Amino acid sequence: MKGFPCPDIDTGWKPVIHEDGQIAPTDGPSIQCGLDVGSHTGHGTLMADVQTREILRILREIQHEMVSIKQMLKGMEVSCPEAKGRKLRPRKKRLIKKLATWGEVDHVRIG
Amino acid sequence: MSGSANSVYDWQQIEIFTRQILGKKAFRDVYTLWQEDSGCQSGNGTKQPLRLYIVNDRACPGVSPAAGSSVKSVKLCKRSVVPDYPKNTITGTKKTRITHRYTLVLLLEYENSEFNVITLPRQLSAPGSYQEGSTMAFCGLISPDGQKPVLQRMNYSNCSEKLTIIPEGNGFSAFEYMMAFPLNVFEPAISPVELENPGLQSTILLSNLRYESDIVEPALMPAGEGRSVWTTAVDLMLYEDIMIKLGVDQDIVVQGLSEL
Repeated sequence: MKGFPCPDIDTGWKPVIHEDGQIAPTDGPSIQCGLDVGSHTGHGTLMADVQTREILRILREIQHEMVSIKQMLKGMEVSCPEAKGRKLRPRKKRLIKKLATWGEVDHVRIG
Repeated sequence: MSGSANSVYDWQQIEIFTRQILGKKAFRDVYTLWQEDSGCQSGNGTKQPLRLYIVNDRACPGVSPAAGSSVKSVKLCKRSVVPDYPKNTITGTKKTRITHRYTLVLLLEYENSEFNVITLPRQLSAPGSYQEGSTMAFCGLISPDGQKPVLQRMNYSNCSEKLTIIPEGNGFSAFEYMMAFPLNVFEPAISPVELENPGLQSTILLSNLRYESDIVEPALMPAGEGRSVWTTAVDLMLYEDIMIKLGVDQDIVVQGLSEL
């Protein structure tokens, strides 16, 4: 086998071509747009297909939003315990002192 | 970044634009120039090197032709890819098909130390269809009448490959190699939902092109009209790596701090 000094060939990113010759559009139409066209032209199947794709796209966006929010909440949980500790401990200590003074409790669990 | 900057209260909403790879597949050492083993053109045979019959230097067609000087070595000078190729197509049977068109420029060295450069498939003809001034080699990828390509096929369990040559005018303009495989071959597998994404894009990378050429034997080939011409049988095969990726553009919103 002989090597051959040939540069690599990279097509770059291109929209996928479907066998029916339809090139997937880079920006899909909105749901509203799809419904309007469908009601006027009567191409029910085609429009339903467009709408389904659009709904799937929106569902994916919602899913990504949820993942993003989950990650944000996780980040907040990580950074919050320090703040809680600072605020709650003095209160608890004061409460324990007061309860001990009044003699209402023998033992207070600090949790 | 300073320690205080880690506070969640300092975070901003940052929107990032990127491309998410949904799936990719790398094929190593793919034969992109070959032919089916002779007598088995059903797609179930094996890949053989493309057998070329290169016309000898100073050989002319005739009833009792002179042998001329046979080919001593064949070197690949250039592989030109046809503009807009390779391309990717999603078929109705949920397969992806890579189509690749190219031409080859070969440097020939003859036993008499002469050199010549030929372009394939433009200077190819079917055996028995010698054309004065243009034919430099014969091969079995063209039908005996010299007009139509003979499709070469390979079928595996779920993949298939084809090789043909593209007619243009009275000749042939390019080799066309096709490979089709199901979407579950991608890593990870592409789901039907992802396939329907209107923003689906693909990219193909061809790399590491190599070739094999073997001088086989002198051969007397029919040239048509009762004549024949002396040639040298040469086996030629091309290998390369093919990588394909499918992906979509994504706008991602994250919480964090920009360093700018």
